[in-house]
Amino acid sequence: MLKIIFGTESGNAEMGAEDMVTALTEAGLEAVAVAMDVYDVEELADEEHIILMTSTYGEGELPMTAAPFYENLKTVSPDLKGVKFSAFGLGDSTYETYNQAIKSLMVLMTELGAEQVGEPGFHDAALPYSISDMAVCWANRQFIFA
Amino acid sequence: MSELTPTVAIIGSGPAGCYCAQFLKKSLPSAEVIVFEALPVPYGLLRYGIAADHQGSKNISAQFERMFTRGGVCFIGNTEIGKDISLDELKAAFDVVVVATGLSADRKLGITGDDLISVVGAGQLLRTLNGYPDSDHALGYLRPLGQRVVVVGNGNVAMDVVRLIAKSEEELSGSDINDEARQALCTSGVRRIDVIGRSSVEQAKFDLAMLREICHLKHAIVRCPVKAATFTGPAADLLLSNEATTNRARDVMEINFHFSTTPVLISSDNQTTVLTLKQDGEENLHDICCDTLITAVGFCHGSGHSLTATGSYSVGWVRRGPKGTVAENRRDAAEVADEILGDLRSGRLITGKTGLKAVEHKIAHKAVSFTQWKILDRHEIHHAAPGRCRKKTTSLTEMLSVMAPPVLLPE
Repeated sequence: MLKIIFGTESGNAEMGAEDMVTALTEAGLEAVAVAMDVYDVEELADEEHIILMTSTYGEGELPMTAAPFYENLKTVSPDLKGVKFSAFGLGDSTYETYNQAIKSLMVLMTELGAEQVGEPGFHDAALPYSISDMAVCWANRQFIFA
Repeated sequence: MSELTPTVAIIGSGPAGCYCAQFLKKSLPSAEVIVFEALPVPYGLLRYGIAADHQGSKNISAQFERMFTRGGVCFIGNTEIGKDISLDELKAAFDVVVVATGLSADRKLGITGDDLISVVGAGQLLRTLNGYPDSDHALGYLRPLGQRVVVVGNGNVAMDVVRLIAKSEEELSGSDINDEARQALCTSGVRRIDVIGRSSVEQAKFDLAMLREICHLKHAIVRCPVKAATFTGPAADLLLSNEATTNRARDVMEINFHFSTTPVLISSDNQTTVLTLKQDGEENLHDICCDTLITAVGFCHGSGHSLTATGSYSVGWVRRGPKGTVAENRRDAAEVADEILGDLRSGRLITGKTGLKAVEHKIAHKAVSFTQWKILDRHEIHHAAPGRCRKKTTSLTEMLSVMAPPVLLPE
């Protein structure tokens, strides 16, 4: 079961996550999307394989809805040995802090013992490719045609 | 609860209105949700407010496009509530009415001389650079900016103005800026921009990323000529480190930031506009001369009749004031949608009104659909000049004629 935990501010990451679920489900995999602001970090240690998905705001920060997830993760500091995660970030290379948020999450998860699987995916809003296309392509490469 | 099938009318298709439609439709899949828009084109400030060189921020339109094409929300453009359909008629036809009309006018400075012809509102200017359809107002502002420009304001809108004036042709590549407007304004003839802000550098409202973009402009030197005794904080650090780098080409534009400075009055002297200022801590006033003064001090209701929200809901800037961009208005839309849901569930709001069917006969001759907008959308992209991602149609008549090509008469 692939659980996509997304942090969104404009709804873009949420749309990307939903499209990823559709693509994975259509390929016969079990997948579900849940927002970071309703996800309990205490459950992370029990997850098999999660996909973290978030956009970047302000000075390389996580969206408002995702920031508590990051802070709780730091505070609770669960032992994530055995937990696999993949990462997909949404950013805009017009700004210096391009995709900083997903990168911070990747670092934190690794520090907590989780194992990053596969290549991280990055959507760049400065390029003319849709979030859906990029997210689904990446999911296909990581999980379906792996 | 998902059995609830209210009829919902949202007035305005900017981000707030669209997000509200999105949230409502998600919670009430069987509801009739109609988004009315006065212009033939959707998206409000997404299209006419967000700067032409910040295309990335505009990509939320993909969410709204999905909603209008397969998400069961109906877009009705070229329909002005208050004119084509009265607000009372709308309220009589729909169970829920949400006003999402924004704030279209620039706030004035409120000092003597703030109505001189050389004083221009930033919203007006940005809208024009964003290809807002021709109107008496828009044409009136298309005079050359001159060599010296003053921008009053320290928010992101002020920064958009500075950046779009100062960017070179090369730096504007990939944007959909209105080149006719740029040429009429003679943006490339501007040699100096002075940015005036009442707050200290530390309290200036612009995002640091916006200041950084300006500091990275290829053909401008950014300075802060008068620094307060305590010149601290991330913005100050950025300005200081930027001033330290000296390798710039000649013939560059000067951009000067003046913090803790309050405009006192505006006057004119021959062809020059004079802004009298008070610097914090200084007793004497001082003057700065310019050819054009651009005010970026917020937005308010326009002089035309605005729809009052009695007996209906409101969302976005019209509800909360001109604060926040996309994300904040999405949060507001979520809140309002929740409030509406609560009222429906509790029975405070009764349902049963007909909805669109009750009023569509009034607008059948003029309303445009989302499909028709897509025809114009493709047309604008197709006609983009080199270095541009689209060429916006700036005439309402032309928009409508592109959207509804003449029917071929039988011979």
